[in-house]
Amino acid sequence: MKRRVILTGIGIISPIGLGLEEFWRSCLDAKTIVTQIPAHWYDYYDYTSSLWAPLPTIDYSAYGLRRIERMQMDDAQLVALSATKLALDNANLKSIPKDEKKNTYRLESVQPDRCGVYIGTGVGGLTSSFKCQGNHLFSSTKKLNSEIRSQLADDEQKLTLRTLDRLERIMRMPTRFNPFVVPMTMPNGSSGQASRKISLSSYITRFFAKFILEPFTSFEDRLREGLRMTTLILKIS
Amino acid sequence: MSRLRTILVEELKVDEADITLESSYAEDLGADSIDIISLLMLLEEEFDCEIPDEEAVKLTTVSATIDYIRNRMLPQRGET
Repeated sequence: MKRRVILTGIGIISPIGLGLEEFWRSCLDAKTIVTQIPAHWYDYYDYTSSLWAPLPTIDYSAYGLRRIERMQMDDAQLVALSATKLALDNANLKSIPKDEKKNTYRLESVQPDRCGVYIGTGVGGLTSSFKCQGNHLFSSTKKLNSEIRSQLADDEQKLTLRTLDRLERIMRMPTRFNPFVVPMTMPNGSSGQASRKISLSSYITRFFAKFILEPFTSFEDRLREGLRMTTLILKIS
Repeated sequence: MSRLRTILVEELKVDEADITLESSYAEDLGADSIDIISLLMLLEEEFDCEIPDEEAVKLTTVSATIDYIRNRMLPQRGET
C-alpha cells in the first residue's frame, strides 16, 4: 500500500510577502521587489552585479520571538521559526505554552515522539559567522585607528580625520563576538530551533542544496547522491 | 535599577519578588551561564555600550551590575 503525504499547512516568509495570502496575492499581481543593492555596500567593494531581492525588515516579535531570541539566533533560524508559526497557524494546529522562560510550546493533539522536523537549507546562519569573524578581524585595526585619531590635532589634519572616518565606517562590525555563534551558524540550527520551539522529540534532519553544483545525469541520481552525502539525522529530546 | 529590573523580569523571567540588591544571579536568582551571558548582551544593547570580558566576569550580583552601570556605562553615554 502506498503511503500518502498530506500537506496541512503552509507558512511563507518571502521578499514579496509574509504569509500565504500576501505572497500569493503578490504572485498573481506579478509584483517584483528586485532593486539596487544598498549604496553603502560600495564602501566595501566595487560590485559589478548590483541587483538583489531582499526580504523586508521583519518584526519577529509578531511571530512570538523575544528580544533575547533575536540576539541568540541568526536570521536563518528566525525566519524558519516565523514560517513554522505561520504554517502551524495555517494548519489550525494549536500551540500551548509549555515553558515560559524558554518560550517553548507544545502542539495540542500531537505526540511529540511521533512528529519530526525536516528543514531544507542552503547553508544555515553563515551571516552570523562572518559578523563574529569580522569582530575579531577588525579589533586591532580599530584600536590602531583610535590611536591615530587621538594623535592628530583637529584643525591641521581634517583630511586625514575624514579618511579615518571612512576607515571606521567600513570596519562597522558587531561589538561582541556572539557566544551563540555555533548554534547560529550550523545548518541544522533551523531544524533544531524549530523542534525545540514546539517540543518535538523524534528525528530532525536538514537537507543541503549542495548537489546542485555537481554533474549528474538524472535527477534521481542527484537526489540520491545528495541524500547520501549530506543528510544528517539527529534525535532531539 | 529599574531598567535592570525590567530586563530581569521581562526578558529573563526572574520572579520580581526575588530581586534584591544583594541577589546573586547564579545562587539566588537561579541563573545559569547562558542566562548570565544573555543578561550581558541585553545590557549592552539597552545602554548601547560594550562590556569588556574582564569586567563582565565580576558582575555576579545585582548591586555589582548597578554600580557598573552607574559608574561605567552611563558616563560613556554622557548620562548620569
